[in-house]
Parts: sequence; structure tokens; C-alpha cells
Amino acid sequence: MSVYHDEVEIEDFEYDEDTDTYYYPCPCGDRFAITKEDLENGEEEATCPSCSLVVRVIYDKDEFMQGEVIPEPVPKRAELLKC
Amino acid sequence: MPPRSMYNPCAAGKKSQVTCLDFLPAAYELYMIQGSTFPCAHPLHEILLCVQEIVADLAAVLSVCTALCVSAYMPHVQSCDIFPICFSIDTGALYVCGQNRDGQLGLSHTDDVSHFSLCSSLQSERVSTVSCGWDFTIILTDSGRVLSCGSNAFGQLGIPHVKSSSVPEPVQSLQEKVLDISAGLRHSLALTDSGGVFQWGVGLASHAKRFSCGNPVPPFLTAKEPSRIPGLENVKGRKVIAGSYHSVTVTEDGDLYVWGSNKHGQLLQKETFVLWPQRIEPHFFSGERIRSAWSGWTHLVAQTDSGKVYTWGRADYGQLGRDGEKEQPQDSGAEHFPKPLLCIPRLTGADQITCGSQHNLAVCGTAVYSWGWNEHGMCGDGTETNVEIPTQISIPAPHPATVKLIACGAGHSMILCVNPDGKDFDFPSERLQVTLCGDNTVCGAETCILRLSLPFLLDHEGFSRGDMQPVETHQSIMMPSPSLLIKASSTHW
Repeated sequence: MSVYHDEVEIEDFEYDEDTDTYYYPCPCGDRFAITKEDLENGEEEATCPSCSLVVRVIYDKDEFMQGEVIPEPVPKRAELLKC
Repeated sequence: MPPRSMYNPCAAGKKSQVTCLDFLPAAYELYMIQGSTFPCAHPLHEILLCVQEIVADLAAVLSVCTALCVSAYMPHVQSCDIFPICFSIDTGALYVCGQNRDGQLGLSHTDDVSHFSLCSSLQSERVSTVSCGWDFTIILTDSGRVLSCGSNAFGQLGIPHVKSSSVPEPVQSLQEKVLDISAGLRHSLALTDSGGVFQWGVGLASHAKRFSCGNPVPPFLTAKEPSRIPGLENVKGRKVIAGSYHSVTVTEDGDLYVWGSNKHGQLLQKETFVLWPQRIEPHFFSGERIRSAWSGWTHLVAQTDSGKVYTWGRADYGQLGRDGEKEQPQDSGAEHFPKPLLCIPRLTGADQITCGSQHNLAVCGTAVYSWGWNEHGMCGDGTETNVEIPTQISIPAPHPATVKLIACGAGHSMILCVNPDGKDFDFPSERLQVTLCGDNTVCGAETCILRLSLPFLLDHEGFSRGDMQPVETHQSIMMPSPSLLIKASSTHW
């Protein structure tokens, strides 16, 4: 049984644009981290690099998938149609 | 670089008891006083630390420090992305150390600092209290002014229109004299001379919206400047305490008022989120008045007038020090709460208590007890197994020591001791020892991480160079991890 330290809404994470990573305070002093790519892939565990604790990220998976994956193929398809 | 580590004032004498801590910046050296052979005419009463200019003359001791403030909660604990560690010594000077990504050390830069550094921008003011939030620091001066530095991502600095500040800036809108401050993860509290309680920083707001069931969120939960907490007009606050997502004030009448997240039952209320200040019913403490209280991230500790100690809130790492009680009522169901809490007999009469994020320290007479989360060895018992009940820890003191101050960070603990036993020395004195345990990551080029699961005597050179070695008989585990963990909880005397 996986026991999460906590369940945390994505809105409570802080987003770092430089690393495309969401961070949340870990009680050890380091930070739970999960990348945007992880979220787009449906991952929901944010881990802390310094300790064993893990938090479950609460977020709308559809929203993340739509925001990042869908727009890319669309223009290509449009171009194909033009040809 | 000054020849500081080469300078051993007592090298010539057998009773060499003065140890250079060697973590102060260029113009100063910090010595730990361990013996009275220190050739100094100054009466060493209450001596903790001496700051000495680098002159090869011990008689030139500049100041005797009678107060030391270890801010390691959120570390100051609440510290850091970690909480910085801050020392304030009796000259009112503030020394800081730790992660500094958002300028939370107030040093006018954002580089991590691996040795205690003087926060020079505060030199014109005496610092009386410092409290460290997750990535910011709140500073209270003797004159009752509040300053803040670090991240302002959640408005936790109380200063409008800045993203962050690496220099302590006054919180201008706090007009009254402030008596107490406390920093949480993403919010701050201040208690003013008139007993008013102010909060700023929007850390609690998202939780409030989530659990308010459509009820309007009180404006003070979304304030980025100090906002007076309504509902406390008729009580006089004595102390303010910020948890991760909750706030507490202890009143002169011995009541506890609480608001914020009650996810782990830490507010002893029925609601999952308490929007407005509520008084905790005295029957939880068998009708006694509360003398003081402390908060970890999600658990609370309170001591009554008669000295009894109660704990409640999150319990799954042993935070409550009550063996076997792993589950606290998370649903805050009414059926759990009519019952008084059980006090912890071992801690009755405790002289000091402090909470880290998920662990605790207490001083009872000459004994130091620890309990709670111990993954980083911060309970100081030599293990990394959670400590379920308050357990006495041994301090590596060369002589019997009197514990003067305890502090818990997120993943570390600190103990300040004074040895009044002067029998081996020429004249009465006190000696200082700082011991610490837990994770200590020293940043920068000379990165080194030590995990100390036993208290470690901070009394030798090398600390600032990142090559700290444990004293004999004490364990350390080298960890090849680059991350840093110094947190801060603010405590002062």
C-alpha cells in the first residue's frame, strides 16, 4: 500500500519556468517536485530528492494533456490539408 | 581570507577551551567559550558567544552575548526552500545561514550561504526576534518594527508590489509596536502592543476556498499586507503561532484561538477549514488555562498553567509523542471531541518546548527529550526511526551542561548549552556548546552533506569549509545528495 505524505492540489505548487517543474514544500526542508512533462504523461506522484516522502498531486489530467499535446499536431494537419 | 582558522588563542595552555567556530565572515570570529582559562577580564556570566575582532589579542573581546536567537523554523523551519538559520546575538546582530534562493537571508544577494554571515543591513537596529518561513524571513526589532525579506510570491512579506526582496524591508503598514511575530509556510502573523493580531500572505486562501463550501472567504486570508484578524477584538493576544496552513494565538486569559486548515484535527474544531478565529474549548485541557503553545506544520503542542503538556493534530510520524495513537480523527467528527485530550506525563513541567515540521524537542530540567519524525536523524537518538514517545537524548557535552535553548528545523535540530560547572577552572564561568543533529547541507562549491543522527557538538573548525567531521563516538553518514536542508524555527530568550 502506497502511503502518501499528503495529497496536494496542483494550484498549491509553485511553478518554476526555468525547469518546467512544479515544487511544493517537503517537511524535510527540500521540495517535492514534479515536471510538467510528468503531469502531461499522467504522473501524479511528486517526490522529494532528499527523503522518502511522496505526495500525490491532484490535478485535471485532461487539462494538462490538452494544453500541451494537442496544439502541436494541429498545425501539421492543417498544412497537410492545404497540400 | 583572514588567518582565522590558524588562530588558536589557547594553544599554549593545557586548558585550552576556547574553540573557534570559524563560520563568521572575514571581520569577525566567533568563539565558543568552553572554559574560563579564556584570558578575558570580562565577567563571563551568561556568556554564550564572543565575537572578536581579528586581532591577536584575546583581551579585545568586543561583546559578550547574552542572547542568542536560533531561528531555524520553517526553520525558520520553517528555512529554504529551506528555512534559513538565523542567529541573533545580544548586540542585536543577526547572523544567517542556509538557502537563499529568494534572498531570505537578507544579505542583498541570492546565493546560498554555508557559513553564518552577519546581516549587515540591520546593523542600525537590534533584532529581538526572528522567524523564518519557508522561503522568507520576518524580523522584529527591539523597537517593535517588523522587517521582512525573501519570497513575496504569496504576499508573505507584507510589502506590496515586490516579487521578492533580498534586503530586509520594513513592513510599513504595521503602525503599532509589534510584540511577537511568527512565519508559516506562506503566511505571517504579528501581535501588536494593543493585543491585536495581524496576518498577511495568501498561503491559506486556496485551502479556504476549497473547503468554504461557497461561503465567502474572509478578506484577511487573501491580504498581502497586514490585515487585522476580526473576532479577536475583545481578547488580548500574548503570542502568535503560524503553522503550515493554520494560525494560533495564545491570549492573556490563557485561551487558544485558532483559524485555518484543520485537515489533521490540529485546530480541535469540527470544520475541515476554520474561516474565522475560534476558541478551543478549555475542557480539552481539563479546564486549565494555556500558558504557551507551539506548532509544527500540522500538529500542535500546548502547556497549561500547571505545566501539563498536551499534543494534538497529525500523528502518523509520532509527532504527538503518544505511543500507539497513530490515527487522529481526521474527519474532525464531533464524537471525538467532547473528550478531553490526554496529557503527556513525561513532559509535565517542561521548561522549553519547540516544534519542527514534524518533530519536537522539549527540555525538562536537565534532560532534553525528542519525539516525532526522524528520517533525517533530527531526533538525535542515533537512529533514523521515528520516535513515538518523548525520549531523552544525550548531548555530547564534555561536562554536564545546562540546556539554554532548543530549536527545531525541518530536518534538523539545535541545542544550545551552557556549562556552569567551573570546578576545573580558575574563576566561575559558563561555557557554551551548540549541538545539532539532522541534515546539514553546506552549499556552494565545497558542498558537503552530513546526516547526523546523534547530537553533534559544533565546536571545531571546518564547519564553514564544508568538511565538518563528527566528534569521536558520534555517527555521521555521508550523503551524496546535492540538495539542501536547513530549516529554521524561531526561538529566542
